Amino acid sequence: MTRDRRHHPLLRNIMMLMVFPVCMVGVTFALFSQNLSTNGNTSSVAYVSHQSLMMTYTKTQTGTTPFTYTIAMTLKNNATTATTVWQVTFTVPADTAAITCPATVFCTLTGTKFTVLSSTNGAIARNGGRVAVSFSFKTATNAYVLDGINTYANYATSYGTRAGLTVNSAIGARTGVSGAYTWPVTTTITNNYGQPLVAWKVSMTAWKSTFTLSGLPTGVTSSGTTTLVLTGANDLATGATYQFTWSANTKTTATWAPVTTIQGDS
Amino acid sequence: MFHKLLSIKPPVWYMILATIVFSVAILVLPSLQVFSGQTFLYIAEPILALIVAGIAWYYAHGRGDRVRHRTEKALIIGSVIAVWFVADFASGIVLTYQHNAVAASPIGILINVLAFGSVAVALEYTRHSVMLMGGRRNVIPLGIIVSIIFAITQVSATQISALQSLDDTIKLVVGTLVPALANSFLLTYLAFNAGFVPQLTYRFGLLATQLLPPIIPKHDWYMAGIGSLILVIAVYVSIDRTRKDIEVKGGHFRHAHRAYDAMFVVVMVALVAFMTGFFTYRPEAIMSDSMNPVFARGAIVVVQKATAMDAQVGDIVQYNMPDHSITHRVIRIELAPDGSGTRLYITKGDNSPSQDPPVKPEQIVGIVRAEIPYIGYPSVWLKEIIK
Repeated sequence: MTRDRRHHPLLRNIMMLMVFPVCMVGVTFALFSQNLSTNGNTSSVAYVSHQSLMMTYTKTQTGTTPFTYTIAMTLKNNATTATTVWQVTFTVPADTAAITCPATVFCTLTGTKFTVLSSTNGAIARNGGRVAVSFSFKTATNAYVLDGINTYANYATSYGTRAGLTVNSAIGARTGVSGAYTWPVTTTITNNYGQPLVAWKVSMTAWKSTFTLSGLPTGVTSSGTTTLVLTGANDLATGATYQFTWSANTKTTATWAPVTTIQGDS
Repeated sequence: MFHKLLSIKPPVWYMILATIVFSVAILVLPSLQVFSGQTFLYIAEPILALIVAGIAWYYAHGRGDRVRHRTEKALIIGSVIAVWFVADFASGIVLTYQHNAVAASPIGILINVLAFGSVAVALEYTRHSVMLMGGRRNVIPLGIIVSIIFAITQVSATQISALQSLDDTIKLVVGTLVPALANSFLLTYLAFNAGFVPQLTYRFGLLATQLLPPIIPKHDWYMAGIGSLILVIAVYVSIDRTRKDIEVKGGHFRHAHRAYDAMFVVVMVALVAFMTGFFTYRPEAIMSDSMNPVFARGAIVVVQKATAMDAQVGDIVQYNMPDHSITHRVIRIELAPDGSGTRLYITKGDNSPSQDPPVKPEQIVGIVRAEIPYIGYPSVWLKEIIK
């Protein structure tokens, strides 16, 4: 009897101490564990970071903290030339770890910047070629969304005629005195090809070894002995026009009536 | 100090040596990969700890606590831990909650409690035996040695080997080493001044707060470290200040009542903070049936403040319109047709016949995380009366 009287208050007090912790945890868990979302662990968003290289992905979140995120990524090359190497970068939470990547890519993590770089074969066929890569990592961040995505690619150099890519070289009247004549030339390139160009090459026939040229703008180089080739390494966006003037020089009274053509590299 | 240590009986040193061997073993064995991680954690470590406790039992068998009011002191410690836990758990309203990885299922909780609990009992029994046999004269030097050695048992070799930078080191020191040392000093203090039951109450109380809740507040390393230190200080102050109080006034169980009152106040404050909506989670009354059957008119939904980048297809988001807010599900995420790269969120009520106009990222203010039916009706009626 004495023992009961002593222990009943103790048990009552222990139960009293348990009430709030148990109620709080219970109620919060009941609320927190509700699943109001449908198909909430996958999402699909398309990005066009590089104008010709489109990346889409499907993300799957599994497990509990730290959650495992599996990214099934597809790269589509919309350019008219194949890629030689490609790279995708995006931002991940600071605690990202346990990265699993296939042998076909290199995955690196620098700070919060996650980089997926093609390794053994960086080629993606032109005109809609695709490559699929799946990789995973762990983070305690719930409902993480890929952020700050950028795609990069190097393309195989391939000059060719491009429908809609036109050039006009207007040669002005020859000026100068005996032994030093000059033709002013205005070259205008228009890109209505429908894709951006990373380089172009203008060819002008009937060039002679006695001719020299001057006044080319930065980024444009010249070559050739019988056909003058002007090469530009500056990007030419879709619909853009690029015009520059330069001078062709000669010491004789020879005439010059070139045929001008252009090739582009996308 | 050293001549005092020399006067300690050899069995005490044998027990300390056994604990050192245990500490080194749990630091070194995982890296040798003799056992798998789980085998080590759930079988090898408890067995090693029980061997250490067996050695302590062999030498200290028959010696009992001579501390008075052990039950009352245990209750005081339980009261402090309960108040601390309620306050700590309520901080999740500001910091958000996350699933507790070590409490994923009832079976998992049971296994963890058995494994970690047996290690805790074994080590605390050893600590208690060492302090009991060490004697009152040697309590300070022996207490320091024991506290440091037992603190090592709380540190994982994986954490140490993962150190790569000064940041990592600071995190380990503040988040793990200092709390482990503080807890160990407190447990040694309790072993000598309060007895085995209060000592075990503290250790099990700590374990319970870590192993039992299925969700926990999302604390970073700094918050976790500071939270542990606050608990240590609170327990120490409570025991130290009330020790004499109990003996003089015989005030049994008063502390449990005080703790109950403190917890009531904390819960009320947390509830008010939640209702006012200033923090990460806030309630919102549902005015229509457009999301039926997920939630209906008169329900209260718990909205977690979030940016559009957190919203995924399938999430129920709350977004602002010029004169009201709408709570509907994201059914698609598209890129803006103007080529700017801006996301547009296509939303629709589950019970609505058509989708809403595209929602811009800056309109989205939160994601619905939970729902409580019916209790929002007073708010609904009030809003309609005001209209």
